[in-house]
Amino acid sequence: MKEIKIFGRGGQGAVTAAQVLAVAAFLEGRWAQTFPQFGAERRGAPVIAYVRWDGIPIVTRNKVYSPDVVMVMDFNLFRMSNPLADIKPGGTAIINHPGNGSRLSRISTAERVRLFTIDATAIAHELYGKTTIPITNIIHLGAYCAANQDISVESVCRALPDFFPRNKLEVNQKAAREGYENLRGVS
Amino acid sequence: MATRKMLTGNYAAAYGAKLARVEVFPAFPITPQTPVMEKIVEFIENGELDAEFIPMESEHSVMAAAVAAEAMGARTFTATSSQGLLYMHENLFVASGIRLPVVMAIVNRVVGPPNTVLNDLSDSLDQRDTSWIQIYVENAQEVLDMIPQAYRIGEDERVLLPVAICFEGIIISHYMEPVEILDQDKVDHFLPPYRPKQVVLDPDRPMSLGQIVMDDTYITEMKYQQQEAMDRSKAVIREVDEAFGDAFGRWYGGLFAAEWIDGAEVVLLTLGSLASTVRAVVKQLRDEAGLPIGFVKLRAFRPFPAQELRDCLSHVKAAVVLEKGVSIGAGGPVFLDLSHCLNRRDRMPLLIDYIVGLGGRDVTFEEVRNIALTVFEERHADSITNPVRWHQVRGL
Amino acid sequence: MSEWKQVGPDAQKRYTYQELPIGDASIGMPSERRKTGLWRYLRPRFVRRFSPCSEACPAGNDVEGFLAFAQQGRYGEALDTLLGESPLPGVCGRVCFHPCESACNRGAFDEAVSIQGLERFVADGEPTSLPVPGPSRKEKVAIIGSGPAGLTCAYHLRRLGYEVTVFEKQAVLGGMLRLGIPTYRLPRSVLDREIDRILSLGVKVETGCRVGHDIPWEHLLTWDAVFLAAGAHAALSLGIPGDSAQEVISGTAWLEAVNLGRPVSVGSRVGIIGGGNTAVDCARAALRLGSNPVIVYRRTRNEMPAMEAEIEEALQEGIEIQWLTSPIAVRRRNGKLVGLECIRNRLCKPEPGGRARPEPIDGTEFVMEIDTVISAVGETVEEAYLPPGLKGEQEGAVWVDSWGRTSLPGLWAGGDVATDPRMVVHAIGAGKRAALSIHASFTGEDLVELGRRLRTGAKGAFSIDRYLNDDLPGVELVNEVVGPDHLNLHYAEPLERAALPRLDADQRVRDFSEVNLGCDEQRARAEAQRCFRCGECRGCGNCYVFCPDGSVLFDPSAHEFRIDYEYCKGCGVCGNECPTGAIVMTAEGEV
Repeated sequence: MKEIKIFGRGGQGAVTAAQVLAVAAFLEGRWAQTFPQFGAERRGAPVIAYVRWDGIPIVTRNKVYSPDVVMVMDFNLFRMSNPLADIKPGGTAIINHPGNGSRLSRISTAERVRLFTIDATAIAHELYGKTTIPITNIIHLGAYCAANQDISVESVCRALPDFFPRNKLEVNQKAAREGYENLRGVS
Repeated sequence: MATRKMLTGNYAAAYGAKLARVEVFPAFPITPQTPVMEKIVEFIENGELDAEFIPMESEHSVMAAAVAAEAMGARTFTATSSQGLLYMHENLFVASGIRLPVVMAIVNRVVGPPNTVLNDLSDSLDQRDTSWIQIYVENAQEVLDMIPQAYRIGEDERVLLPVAICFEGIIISHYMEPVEILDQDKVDHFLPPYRPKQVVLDPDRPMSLGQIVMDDTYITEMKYQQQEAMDRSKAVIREVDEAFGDAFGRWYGGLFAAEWIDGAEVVLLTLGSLASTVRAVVKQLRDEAGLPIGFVKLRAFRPFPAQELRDCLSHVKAAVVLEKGVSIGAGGPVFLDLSHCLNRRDRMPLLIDYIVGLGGRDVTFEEVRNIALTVFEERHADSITNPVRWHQVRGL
Repeated sequence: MSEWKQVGPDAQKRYTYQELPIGDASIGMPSERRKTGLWRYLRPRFVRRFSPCSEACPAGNDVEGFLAFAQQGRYGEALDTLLGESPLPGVCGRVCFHPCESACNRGAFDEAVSIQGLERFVADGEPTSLPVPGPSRKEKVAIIGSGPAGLTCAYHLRRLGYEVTVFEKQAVLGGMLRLGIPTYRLPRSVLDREIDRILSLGVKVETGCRVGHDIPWEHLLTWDAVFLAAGAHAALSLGIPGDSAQEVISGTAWLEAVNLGRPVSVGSRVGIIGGGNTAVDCARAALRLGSNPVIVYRRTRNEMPAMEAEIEEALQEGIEIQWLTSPIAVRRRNGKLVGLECIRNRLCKPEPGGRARPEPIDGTEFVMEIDTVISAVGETVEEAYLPPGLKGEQEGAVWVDSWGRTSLPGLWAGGDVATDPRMVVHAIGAGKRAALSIHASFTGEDLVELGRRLRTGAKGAFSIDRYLNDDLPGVELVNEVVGPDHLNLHYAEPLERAALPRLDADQRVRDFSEVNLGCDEQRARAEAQRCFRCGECRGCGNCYVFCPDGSVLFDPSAHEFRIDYEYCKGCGVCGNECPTGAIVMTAEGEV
């Protein structure tokens, strides 16, 4: 079973991202589960959403205590707590960050974690225009596909019509592909 | 054609209502129930469901509208949570007192304070005396499957009682998982249109329902009829489960589902989504440690399957209830009901109650495993001094 | 964000039950420890954003502001608002090409608000207070030309306290407003009323005085500042054989004669060359003088620079327009003009950034029988009288920078004489721009900073009233123009735009009486209600009603809504439900 934890802010689309990723896994013939972590709902507030997928039906409804993959959609979230604190050793982290990741070396996390960055904010501004909170969710899913190679970006695109009206499909498909192409590994 | 889709428990409830071809849907929003309402309204708006949505100003009015609609002979559905359900409380008695088979999805949520949108079962367990049938389900698929079943149970002339399908907020209502959406033709065959033969309001034959009577008239008799209907509903629940299984290939066990009971010395009994975790723990302890442990998933809290559980548990040494609710001053509501049905002079199993998951606190696999092992150690004890255990209290 | 941890240590701490203060989680928690404002990540703020109409107005009129008064029937204050930015609302209410209406967000919903019609209605009433001269300053400013640019500059400079003298070549004031625009579009009573209002501020006037002739530049340039707003009066020639004939007359000169009531001759069939407002004005004036005019324009109706309403009215009046037609020669016989030889054109594909070029079609030459030609193909600046050393002229206009400064120190320019679009409203904007620019040259204020503080959008216009009265709105002004996406149009209902009545075509061609009749109070009030009030709180109370936390407060004495930031948790519902885009959400810490 693979467990994915997505950190975002209210309005950024973290919950939708988790749902799209779960549907993408489902469309590939897997069993999937996705859920948000609940708090008082308000724009800009930290939001966490989870995805589990597996080859067999998923029994647990527990919290995710040790995710295989952590995605951080807003770098400012590191100012509140360390989103990578509970990542599984050998796990994968994908962080929205414009630089080459040199600042990320100071982040404390489990051993052998593979760090990736994606400048999702810049891509989001280009694709969706400038918004108070950049909409980076689907871009991150493309980055997920590139970093993990276990769900295809085509499946993500196939999952999108369940979540977006027809006139928003093209831009979101583009977002997924841009995310896929612009993932950077941090050495 | 049945299709599989990723759905939340809330959407599964909405699909269930659509498949049951509900005709009237009064509702008032409350987290975590709101998406049920939104989805049904969407179905009505886009023409997928021919029903009347009545946006009410409160839950109290919702149940009043549901009573009125059902009394007109319309198949009526609603959904609520927590304080909303408590606000309905008075009118819940009206629905059952007039013997109207309204169906309601109760999306369980803590009754505050302290307030939270997370779940335990305190809101619906609290409604046990309202003469509603209450069935607790484990996952989104069971939510969807149980709504057509609920109508078939409630509308059965042997029953004519309202039915609540209870599922936990957030961890069922907002978890998205694969759900099979039943084939509409097969559901139509399984659940024919509602054709009430009892009292139906008709503008051409005006009448009043539920009016005042005196002590020497018939209240006692009427209540006894409700008791009998509730008793008869046990058979109906089992029959409907069988019929559903025959039609759709999924059987849930009727009043409760018992697994690995033969030869079990300890049985773990729970309800709701916790069943998944407890079942997995029991299976592991049997498979890996060879422990004689059994498992019961209680589905019907009302009617409470007393006789049936007594028969099932008569041979075990200890029965453990894990429940996300408590009647403060006594114990867990399921534990209390189970206690009275095990009141035999001979071979009475030890009965232990674990209060867990209050306020949405996670109940992990390891915790359940520890509970099982603890009770397994105690199974030969002559008596238990602390049968009600607040398991997750820190510092206890 | 660090405040999150302070949301009561209780909310985050994992107490054991012995540690948990009895009852603390549910009762007895002092409410100041439950200030939900600490949860907030985005802060809603009441702001004032620019409405697209105000931004689009080159004169910097506070369109949304005057409509707000008009909605309440407070027409006097509406006129005060207009007079705060421009002394000529009655003029603009009649002759402006109203870019405000093209920008109106209502246009994307049903139809733009009839802003011009409302401006006219308001301007024809009385203000509640007249503008007053500012505290006297010692500097003296000379203004050359009394057209809209010069008059506007004089008006604002008097309000700023300067001694102002306007030098006018003609015997009458108004420039092109009086010389160029026929009275059926702009009754002289309206123009006189507004000029009188300007003069009443104490503007000195020297009429019949030609600069560079009656008064030398050397003398003028010793003034503290000079604003050159003398217009462009040299007619461009047709550039075809025979165009110097006596019967080929300049459109502006001819209109000037008509407008000043001089006797004019116009033949029975007059051909007017050009597609701008001058051409259409000449045609309609000629029609009223009993001639049968025909307009000859080389492109199609779509490319005509004249205002659409003007073209439509001309066509209603039966005026013939020959589109895609160019004159190639003037035909004379026996010393008299007998016809205009023309050729048909086709339009080529427009080059990037340019207009479609007309291309003559060989073999389509024909002769139009006419006896007079009016040339209205454009005007240029008479360079002969300009002061020596003024450089940077381009396309016959004096170069100015974005604050109206010429290459000569102490000399400003604006309007048709300068590189401004040749529209009345641009001239008004240029006059205002020069006034503030001249003022800043004396006070030493930074124009860049002033421009930022006073701007009404991103198109260069600004509010001088805000400077004069230090009149900043009670809420923060955000440099952003409200677009349709900022509005919540769920609260808008389609409403029909008020039709503005006109005289019937057959009636209006009889004389020079005003064609457009304006609207009555009832219609004006209804039309004003159509304004969305983009970017400003209109007091609807949606924020108050929808706030789930009761954190939007209402102050009945000030009739104002405020946000209680101690409890607002930043959900953003107020902003979503605001119909006018007057609430913005910004990240905490970025305000």
